[in-house]
Amino acid sequence: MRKASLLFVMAAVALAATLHSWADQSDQGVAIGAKAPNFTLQDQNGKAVSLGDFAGKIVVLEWTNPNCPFVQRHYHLKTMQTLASDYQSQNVVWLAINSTKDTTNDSDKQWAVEQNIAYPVLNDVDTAAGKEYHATNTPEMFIVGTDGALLYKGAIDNDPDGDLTTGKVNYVQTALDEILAGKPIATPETRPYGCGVHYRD
Amino acid sequence: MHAPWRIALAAALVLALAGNARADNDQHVQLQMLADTSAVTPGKPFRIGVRLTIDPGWHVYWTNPGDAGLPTRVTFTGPDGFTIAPVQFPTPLRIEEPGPIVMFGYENSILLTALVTPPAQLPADFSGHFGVSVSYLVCADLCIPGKGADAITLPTSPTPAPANTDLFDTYGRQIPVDISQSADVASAECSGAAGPSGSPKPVVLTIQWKQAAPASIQFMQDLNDVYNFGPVQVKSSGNTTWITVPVETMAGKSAAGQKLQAVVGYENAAGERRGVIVPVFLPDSSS
Repeated sequence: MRKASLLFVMAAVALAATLHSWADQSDQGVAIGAKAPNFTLQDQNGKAVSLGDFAGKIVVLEWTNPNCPFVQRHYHLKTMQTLASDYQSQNVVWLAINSTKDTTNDSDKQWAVEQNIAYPVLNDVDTAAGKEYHATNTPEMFIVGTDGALLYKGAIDNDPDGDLTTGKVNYVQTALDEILAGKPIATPETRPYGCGVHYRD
Repeated sequence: MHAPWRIALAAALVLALAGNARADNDQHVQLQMLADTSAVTPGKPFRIGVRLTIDPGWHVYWTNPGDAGLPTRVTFTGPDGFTIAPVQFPTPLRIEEPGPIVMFGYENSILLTALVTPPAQLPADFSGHFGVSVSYLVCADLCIPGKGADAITLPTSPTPAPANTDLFDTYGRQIPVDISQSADVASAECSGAAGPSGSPKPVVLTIQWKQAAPASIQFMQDLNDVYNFGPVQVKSSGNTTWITVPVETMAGKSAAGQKLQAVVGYENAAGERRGVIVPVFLPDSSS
C-alpha cells in the first residue's frame, strides 16, 4: 500500500515535471501554422540571404547535402531544379539549405555549378537554422506561406526507394498547387526520408 | 561442340552469383545466408537467416529507421510447399547523432531470421534451394544504399545436425518478446495522450521489472505515419522504470485512439541485449 502510493506520487511528479518542461515549446521543430523562424545565411557566392527578404512570397526550403544518395537521385532526376523553375513565375522562391558538417560556400558553389542550380544554396554549417526547424533528413522540405507561416513540412514525395511506377505523389508540388489555388493543404505534414543531416557536434 | 560454351556460361553464372553475395565490401556490409540445420526433415520447422556484417562505425536500420534512414528489407525464398514466416528483427540500438537525430538500427553484426516449415512429405532425394535478398541503407558520415543476395541448398535427412547454433541462439534471444514471454518484465502500462500538432504531450510508460531495473533502457517506437515522438526520458527506481516521451499528432492526421507498439531494449543482468514489446495506447487529447 505504502509502496503503491509512493509509486503513484513518483509517477505524478515525473508527469508534472515533464508537463512543465514541455508546456511552452515543441520538441518537434516548427509546427504547421506557426511562424517560420527567420534566418540569415550566406549563399554559395557569400551573399547574405534572409527568409525575411521574401515576405509576401511563398518560400520552399530544401534541406540538402550533395553527398547524400537520396539528394543525388533527385538532382539526377532534376526534381528540385524543375519544381523551382516551374513555380518561379508564380511568386515561389526556392532556397536550398546545407547544414552538413564541413560545408563551405565554395563546396556549395562547386555543387551548384555542377548541377546548374539557379537558386541560392545556403551554408548552415553553424547548424542554427537546421536545429531551429529540426530538419532531420536530406532531402527534407518546408513551405512557408506569404504571411510567414509554415504550411508544409516533410518528404519531397512518397517514393523513398525511388522505384514507384504508379501512384507517385510529389507532396511539395501538390501543396504548392493547393496554396496557389487558395485551397487548404490536404497533407501538411509527412514523414521525411533520406540521409540524416550530418550536423557537426 | 557446345560444351565449352556451356562451361563458360556456367562459370560466368557462378562468378556472377558469388559476386552478388560477396561484392558488398565497397558497400560496408557483407551478407551471408545460413540455416540452423544441416538438412530438412519433413514437417519439422527450422530457421534460416541472413547475417549482416557491418563495417565498424557504420550502421543499418531497423523496421522503423527513426528520424532518418531507410528500413532494412529482407526477402527469403524457398521451394514450393515450404512456409516462410515473417522476418524477425533483433532488438535494435537507439543511435543518437547531433541535432539531435535519433535512429534505430544495428552496428557490427546482426542475424535476421525466419522460421521455415517444410511440407509433411518430401522425396528422399530432395534438395531445396533457399535464397535471400536484402536491401539496406548503410550510414556513417555518408549514407550508401546497398543490395545483396545469397543462397544455400539443403538436402533432406531424418536426422539432421544442428548448425550455426551459437549464432541463431545469440540473436534469437535478442528478438523482442511479448511481456508474457519476458524473463525480465512483469508488466507495462501506458498513460497520457498524444497532444495535437505543435503541442506534444508527455506519454508515460511504467514498466515493472521482475528484479531491479536494468541500467541501459532504450525506447523505440514502431513505424507509424501519425505521431511524432520527441526526446525520451528514462528514470528508474527499484523495480520500476518510467519512460516519458512527448508525443504529438502529425498535422493533418486524425489519430483518435491509436494503438501502437514499441520495443524497450536493455541489457540483462548478464550483459546480454534483450527487448520486450510494449503497447503504446495514445488516446487523442484536444486540450
